[in-house]
Amino acid sequence: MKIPHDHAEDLRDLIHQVNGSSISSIGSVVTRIIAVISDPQATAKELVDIILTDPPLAANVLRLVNSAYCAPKNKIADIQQAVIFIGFEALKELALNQKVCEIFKRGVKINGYSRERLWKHSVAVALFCKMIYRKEFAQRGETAYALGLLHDLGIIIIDQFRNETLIRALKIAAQKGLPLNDAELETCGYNHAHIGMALAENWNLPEEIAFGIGYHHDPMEFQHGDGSLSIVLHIANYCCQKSNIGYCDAPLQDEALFVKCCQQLKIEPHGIDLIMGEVQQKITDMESEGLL
Amino acid sequence: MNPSPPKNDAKIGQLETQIRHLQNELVLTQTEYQNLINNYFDIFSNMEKMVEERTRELNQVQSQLEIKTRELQIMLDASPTLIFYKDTRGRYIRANRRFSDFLNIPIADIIGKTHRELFPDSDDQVFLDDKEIIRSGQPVFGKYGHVNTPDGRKPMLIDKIPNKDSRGNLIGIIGFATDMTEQEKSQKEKLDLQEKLARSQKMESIGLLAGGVAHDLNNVLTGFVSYPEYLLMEIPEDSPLRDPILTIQESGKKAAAIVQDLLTLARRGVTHTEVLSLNEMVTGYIASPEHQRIVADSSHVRVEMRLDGDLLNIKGSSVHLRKTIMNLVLNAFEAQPEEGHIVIRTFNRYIDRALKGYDNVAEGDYVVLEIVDQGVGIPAEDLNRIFEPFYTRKVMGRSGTGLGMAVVWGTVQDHDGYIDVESTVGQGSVFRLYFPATRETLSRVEEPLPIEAYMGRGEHILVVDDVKEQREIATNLLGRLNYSVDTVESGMDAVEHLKQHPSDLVILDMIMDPGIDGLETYRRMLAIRPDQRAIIASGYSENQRVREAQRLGAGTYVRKPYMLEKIGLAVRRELDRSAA
Repeated sequence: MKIPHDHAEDLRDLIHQVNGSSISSIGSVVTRIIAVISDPQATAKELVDIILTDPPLAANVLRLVNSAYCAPKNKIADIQQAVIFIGFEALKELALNQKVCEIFKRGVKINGYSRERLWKHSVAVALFCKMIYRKEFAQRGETAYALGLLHDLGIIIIDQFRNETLIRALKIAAQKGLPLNDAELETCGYNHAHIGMALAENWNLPEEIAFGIGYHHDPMEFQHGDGSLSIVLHIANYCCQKSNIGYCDAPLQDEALFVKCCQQLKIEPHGIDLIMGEVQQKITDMESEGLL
Repeated sequence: MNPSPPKNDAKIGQLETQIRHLQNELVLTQTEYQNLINNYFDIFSNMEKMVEERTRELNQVQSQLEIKTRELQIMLDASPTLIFYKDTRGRYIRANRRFSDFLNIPIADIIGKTHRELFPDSDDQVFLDDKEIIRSGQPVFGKYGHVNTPDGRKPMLIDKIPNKDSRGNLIGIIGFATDMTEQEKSQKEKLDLQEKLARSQKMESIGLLAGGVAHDLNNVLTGFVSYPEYLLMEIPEDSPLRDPILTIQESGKKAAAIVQDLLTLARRGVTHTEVLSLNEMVTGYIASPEHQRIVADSSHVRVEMRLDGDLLNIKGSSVHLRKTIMNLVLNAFEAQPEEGHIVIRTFNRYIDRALKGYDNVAEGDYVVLEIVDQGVGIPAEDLNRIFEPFYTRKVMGRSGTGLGMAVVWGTVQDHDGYIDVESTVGQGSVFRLYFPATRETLSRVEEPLPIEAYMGRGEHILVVDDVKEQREIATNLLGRLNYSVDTVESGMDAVEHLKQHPSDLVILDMIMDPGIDGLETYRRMLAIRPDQRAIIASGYSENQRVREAQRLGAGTYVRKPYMLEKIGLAVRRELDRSAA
């Protein structure tokens, strides 16, 4: 995770550039939603207040709540009603989804990569992370969900602010058969995991999310405490890529690392299979509703 | 122990994992539901707070509304105008205090009623045309109507405005009604005053004209009145000319009467202030040859007299009053072409509250002369004009001057009295004259004096008159009375004459044109002879210049035409006064 000094300078410039763009306002809302998500004492009213201060988000949330996916009997006209109808937990997820989605749903497709597919990947990973926590650890896994959504944020940033670099890295990855993160490292001295972590720190997201993003390609190197969040993310990322859900940034799988991760968290292959099945089902549902 | 086949192991492991997953999900779902319940509670309590807030706001709005309503009620109640709200079915839904007070109906009894229910006998369209306003949505301003109140039927000026709710739907009308009684009264008073003023002005201008004519006519008449008297003295008792001359004299006197009428009209007649009994005046007139002649000509009319034995006296001029009685009775006869009664009535009347009628009679003690006929009556439109000179609807009658009623009017005015006339066409008329009563007793009745009482003793008299006939008549009359007479035709001549020939008495014509008038002449005479005696003679009535001359020492004022007794008495009295 050490970045040479001159590259670190470049990364800071990049973050600075991002914060000067429209992404920063999205980031502040994302930060606030995640603060609610990671605070067990937070109330639905706090979330409702966040959504109400962001009219486009409120509109999106209402649109989704009223869609066939949720299918209310009567039209839901305000966020308060939405909380009652779909529940606080679902609303947290929905709001975060919509807000992060704003970052992903812009720009064009370049060779071997599209933001939409990356978004689908992110949603699948987020679901996967959450389910591992819920089903394997009997924990709510909300932070893991947020982490899943945001883990590839760095790719979007390179795409938008260092487009040439991304194109070159994609070419190198294809030529040399390297995962994207390594090709990025080769191209500019840092990768999307570095960018994501730097941005997460800059936005004051919880430290575990920043680290989770930073170490999602090499979770075993994490030494700042309990690394289970990074490991779960890695497992989810691996599984989604393996099942070909959305964009895949690491076509060559490091199965040994995956097995090591599963063993570390005592997750059996059966469990992974069951969760995978459910994630696939959910993604299919969402796609059929046009939500991805 | 038989180990299970690996396939079964795998299956069992899968099931175990699935069960574990479900167990975990169940645990989480339980906590999540708990959270959800807490959150619902939060949301509901938040909603409760919102409801409380809204309720507080509503309460505030309501109390503001109450304040506004109270303010409105105060304003409505303070208004001198009647203000009312009605719904679309014409029922009163609100009324101000004035409305209630004015109609003397409690507010509670007004609300919910229609106008017709409140006033079953009201037929005034203006109170019932609400439907029209509600239909058209147009206000109606300044309509007149009447409403019955405890104080009687009142004229009202009404404005009505369509009342709309906040969405613009018509929900009724708002009405304003102003009591117009006072305005109408003052308007009527104004018109009355204007009419009276116009009448007075007309009388005044006629009077001026009459006065001017009278002066000239008087001089002309002197020949007819005075010469016959002189001629009768000169011709033998059995002369066949005696009768024609008597007729001439009578005609002259009649003409003089007309001139007197004119002068009366001019209201320049001397205001006599004898104490008189109206009863005596009436009986005197009834007994007069003039009246007897009228009665003889109209045998179909009966005159009835109801004279009040306790009648109070009045103060005034017997000549004018006699003429007034005559004119009214004559009028009554002429209005009576068929059989009928004429009632002449006198009575005392105390008016303690101003009486409205033809004239408005002020309060006080009055002696009333009432003359009632059953004749043709006077149409309402003529009633206001009957007292105008020469205004008549009948053929010029026996009175002939066209001034009869004008004299009546002038006389009543001069006596500070009032006239009340009631008349119905086809039924007859009532004339009521109100004269202020007096408690003074009757004047001593003067006996006609024998000629010896005013015979001259050869004194010297200078007659100053610019008209030749006047000088001749004066010379003749005074000569007969044993005076020695000189005449001059102007004031200047008179002064010159006096320088040479002192005179015991000067008879001064007041108006001499051209040249200096009587007053100026007198002043100049006094300059030569400070104790020069003089009397004034004039066709005009007593005026400022006459009074000034009298202030300087001139004696009696003698009104022309010259009459033997009148001039004789005046001269004798003045000479005796100076002698004393």
